[in-house]
Formats: sequence, structure tokens, C-alpha cells
Amino acid sequence: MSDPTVLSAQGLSIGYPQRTILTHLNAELQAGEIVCLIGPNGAGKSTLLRTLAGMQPPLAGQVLLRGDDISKLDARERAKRLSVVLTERVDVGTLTAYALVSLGRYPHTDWTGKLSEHDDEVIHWALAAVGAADFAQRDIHELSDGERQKVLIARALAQEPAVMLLDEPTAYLDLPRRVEIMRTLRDLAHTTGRAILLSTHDLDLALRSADRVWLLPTGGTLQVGAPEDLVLNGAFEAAFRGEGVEFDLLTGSFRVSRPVTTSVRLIGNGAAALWTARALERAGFQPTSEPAAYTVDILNSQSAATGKNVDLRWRVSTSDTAQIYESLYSVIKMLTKSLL
Amino acid sequence: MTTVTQKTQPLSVERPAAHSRPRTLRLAWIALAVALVSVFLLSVALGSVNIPLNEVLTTLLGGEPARASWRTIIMDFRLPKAFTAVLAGAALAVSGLQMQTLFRNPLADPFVLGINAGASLGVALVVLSVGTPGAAVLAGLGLIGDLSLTAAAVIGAALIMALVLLVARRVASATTLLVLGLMFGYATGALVSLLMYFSIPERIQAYINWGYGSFGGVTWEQMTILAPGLLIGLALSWTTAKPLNALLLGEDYARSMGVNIRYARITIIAGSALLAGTVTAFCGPIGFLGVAVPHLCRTLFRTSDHRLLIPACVMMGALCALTADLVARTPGNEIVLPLNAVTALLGAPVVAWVILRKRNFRV
Repeated sequence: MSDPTVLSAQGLSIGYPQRTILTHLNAELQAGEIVCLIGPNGAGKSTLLRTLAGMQPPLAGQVLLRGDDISKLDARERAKRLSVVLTERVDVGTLTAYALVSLGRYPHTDWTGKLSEHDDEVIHWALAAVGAADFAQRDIHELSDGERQKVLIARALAQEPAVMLLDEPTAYLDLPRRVEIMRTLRDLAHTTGRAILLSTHDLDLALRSADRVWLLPTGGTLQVGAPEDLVLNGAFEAAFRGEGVEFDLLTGSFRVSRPVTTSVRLIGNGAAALWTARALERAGFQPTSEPAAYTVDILNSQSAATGKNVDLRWRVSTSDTAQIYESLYSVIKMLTKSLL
Repeated sequence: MTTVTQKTQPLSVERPAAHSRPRTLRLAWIALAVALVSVFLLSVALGSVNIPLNEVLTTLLGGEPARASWRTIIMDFRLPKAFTAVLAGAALAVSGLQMQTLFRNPLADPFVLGINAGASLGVALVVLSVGTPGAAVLAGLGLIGDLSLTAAAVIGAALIMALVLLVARRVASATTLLVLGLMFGYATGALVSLLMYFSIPERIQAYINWGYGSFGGVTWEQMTILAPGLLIGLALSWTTAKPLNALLLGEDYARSMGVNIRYARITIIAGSALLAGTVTAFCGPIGFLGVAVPHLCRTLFRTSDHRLLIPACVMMGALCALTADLVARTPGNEIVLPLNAVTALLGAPVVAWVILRKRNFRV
């Protein structure tokens, strides 16, 4: 079997001459794997990516790209093995998406930059692979942020590297676009056999998409593992503790922590119960099935045809009163007023 | 050996529908070429002496015109002047384009690195300080003045070029280089001011005249230096089209794509400096063309691709230089206007209009 490791950091120290950020870092990327680099702001994610990309010299140790020290590879050879998507805003003037992606062929073309038929095929393939084929002939500055990001990823892909490093490719995008970009990257890693490492602040998305997570706590050591491994061994919780958020082991998501004061009894089941419970938690109540001062009853009937909840209502009762509400908003408002 | 399987080609990729762009592009090229040839012919045909167009064509094609003096006027004055305008316009435009991309600054021009300041200082030293009393020197100046001015400008521009290249090899950031160039320009300007302060009015006038710029005064003999210098510079620029395209994305991206930034920067600056320095040495500091023509080309051809923009700048630069020169000569009239005033007066409104009309204008 051939060695699947395409990029490895060995005893790497990163940072700047006056400020060391991380030392003794060992990690590797394998072919066909999507890895998310996550960690609080200022932990050194961008510096790590820049060092791995050979854009910044390491303070110690080395980065091996397919077995060769990246600092000793010549620029062209390195570009054939590794490509990047950076956070800096791209302002290229008047270029079509196609023309921008064609820049990715740079290390493969001769000195005039003339594109061969093969180059043209690769460019079209890259555009199609990220779902950007439809706007290939449009000018870059006419595209939306999400479309432009796809084109930049296609450009990195057109370089046909073994490794792609992306610095926050989902920043500035709305949720559907973030999910879409993430899915695209994941598919690219799995179907093209490339190793993809991206930094992101989207913890939830990272947990759901990454084959592995590189977790970089502020001033700590890099922890590597399947997302679930890092959740279960508490690394996640530890990395983000004190950031004002709390990681919920049971739901696998972060919640804005707020001290729980009062229990409210919740009766009901299905999606309606789940979202009612979330609404209660958000407002600082602990949903419970035990008797409590207030009880929230979900009154619904399911449509026989669609299985969807119809006529959804909530009855909030105490020992002596009961009232029916049309929305969770009014339920929460009422409970907050009477209990907090 | 490590081999990583990489599938790249599910080849049934749909091609986007053909775009109308290539046709518009071809039209733009043809229009530019026709305009260039026409203005070139006009430039040779028109002047303070009226020569019929058919006589001009006869002379250009190697025949004998009706009067022998017409032949001298056309072959020894108008033709070298027109060629100078073509070469200088092309050179300044390409040089400006390179500087704008290298520094990612729409206001950059061929002189941002202080090359014209160097030439100015050379000329100022010759014109202003050599001017010691003595009628003999003054009389001699008419004869050898032009040559020594050119030589001084060449030396001044070359020295700055060497200095800039030396600095460019060491400085990491393009912005630092830009600021250094700017500071150098100020320092040189101050030296020139000092020289002027202590000089006599006649000398100052001679210096000011040089500062107006002119395509005239280049002899066929000087052309043997000017033309090869500029052609080499243009060839060098053509080799930088590929790295310049990569630099559109910024230096970090360019480096990640395999551009050897230092080497690319040196080549770009050397080519650009050779172009701007040579033009300034022979024609004086001609402003405006270098900053404006690249913008016109980007707008006309709707692209930032240097493989298109460099030839476009060559043609558009030549066209603009010929036109400006034609206007400055005020055909049928004895008056000759300062070239620099004409380029800016005619060009500024045109460029402003073109840019304002286009939404989303970016370099």
C-alpha cells in the first residue's frame, strides 16, 4: 500500500520571531480526508495554515509535503502539490470566473501562460465540481459572495494539488451557503482523493462534516481526532470553556450558557416537544417531566394526510389556573413574566 | 514512492453557451488598428508646412516628391517623430500597466519609482549647474545641448533604475518599495529646486522646456538607441504577462501558484524602468499616458488579462501619443503647444468620462 499521508508537520513551532504561538506540533493529513481546523480566535489557526502552506517559515521543525521538506521545494513544484484559498478579499478587476480559475493552471502552463486543451478541460471540470459552471463567463465582481467563494475554490482545485488548505472559506456566507460549501469540499475530498484542511468558526458544521478535527485551544496543544472522539474526551468543552459558551454533550451543540433557575413540566412528544424544550431552555427554564409549579401541555393533532402538526397550541397551567397560547413566543413571555 | 490517486476527469462537462465577447473583442482590435494607421499617416502628412497627401504617400513609398525640401521634412523630421511617438506611447502605457498591477494601485504610473526624477536630476545638473558665465558655452549649447541633455537624462534614469533594482531585491513588500520610490522623488525634486534657485533664468527656461516633453528632436541616429531599447523593454514586459496575471490575486496567492515573487518583481521593474527611463531620456518626462492608457484598455477590452492588455496598451499608447502630438503641433499653424499640457488636457476628461460611465470600475 502506498503511504496515504500527503502532508505532515514534524516538531513544528509556529509564530513570529518575537512571538511563538505553538511548539512541538505533530500532525498529518491523509489523502481523501477533509479536516477542519477549529479553535478560538487568536489561537493561531491562520498562522498554522500559512506555515503548512510554506508561506511563512516555521520557527522550528519542518513541514513535509509528499515526503519533501516544503521549504526546499521550488515554488512551481510546491504549487503542483498544494493550493490555498485565503481570507483576503480578491479584487482582480475585470476577469470572468473562467479566467480566474484558469490562473490556477499557472504551475502547469509554459512561460506565456497559454492554456492547452487539457488545461481547458481541467478548468471546466473544476468549475463544474464546485457548482460554478453556470456563471463561468460572468465577471467576478458581478458574483455574490458565495459564488465568488466557489470560484476561488475552483481556482485552487484547478491547480490539481494533492492538498488544499483553506482559511475560513465559509466566513461571510449565510447558513445555506456555508452548508453548501462544506458539502462541496467534503465531496471533493472523498471523490478526488485530495486532502483538504480548512479552518472554520462553524463548530456545528465542522462536527458534522469533518473526517477529522484539528482542535487548537489558545496556548494549548493541538488535539487531533474524529469530531466525536474530541467531544467524548472533553477536549471540545475544554477548548471553548470560558468563551461564554458551553458545549452540550447530549445535543452536540453549543449553547449560550445561562443559569437554570426554575423547572417547568413539559408534556408532549415529537418535534413540537423538542422545540418547546429548546424554547424553555433558551429562556432559562429547565424542562422536566416531573411535577412542577407550571406545566406546559402541547395540544396538537396530526394531520392524517401529511403527518404534520396542525392546530398547534400550548396550555400553560398551575394548580389553580390554565390558559391556552397560540405561539411559543407568548408562552415564554408569560412564563418569564411570572417566574423570573 | 507515494502515489495518491486523484481523479480529475469525469469528462462530460457541459460547456457554457458561446459568448458574444470574442466578436466584440475582434471589433475592438480592428478599430484600434485602423485608428492607429490613420493617425500615423495623418501625423506624417500634417504640419506647419502643407504637403499634399499624395506627395506624402509617394515619399513614404520611396518615390521623389515634387519638392526636395518636402522629402527632408517628411523623412528627417515627421517620420522619426511619428515613430518616436508610437514607441514612446507604447512604452509608457505598458510600463504604467505593469506598475499598476505590481503595486495594485490604480494611480501608479511609470514614474512611481522615481525614474523620471532621476532623469530630471541628470538634466537639471547639466542645464542648470554647468551654466557658468561665458558666451562660448552658451553658443556651444545649441549644438551639443541636445545630446548632452539626452546623455544626462540616460545616466540619471539608469542610476535610479540600478538603485531601485538593488532595493527591490532586498525589500519584502511592494508597498515599502512604493513609498521609497515616492520619497526618492521628493528628495530629487528638492535637489532640482535647489539647483534652480541658484541658476540663471535662461537656464531655468531651458530646463522647463525639457520638462514639457516632446517627441521631436529624436534623430535617426538616436533612434538606433531608442528603438532597440524600447523593443527590448517591450519584449521583457511580454514575458511578465503570466506573473502579472497571477499578481492580480495578490502576492500571497501568486506565491502559492508558483510565482517566484522576487524574480518576477525584478523582471517587471527592470522592463518597466527600461521603458520609462529610455522614453524620459529622449522625450522628457511625459506624464498622463502611463496612468491613463491602461485604464482605457481595461475598459475597452473588458479584461484584466495582461496577455491581452499588453498588446492593447502598445496600440492604444501609440495611438494616444500620436494624437496628442498631432494636436500639440496645431497643424497649419506655427504654434507648438507643450506636449504634457495637451496629453492631460485632452486625456483627463476622456478618461474620467470612460471610468465614470462604467459601473463597478476596478483596476
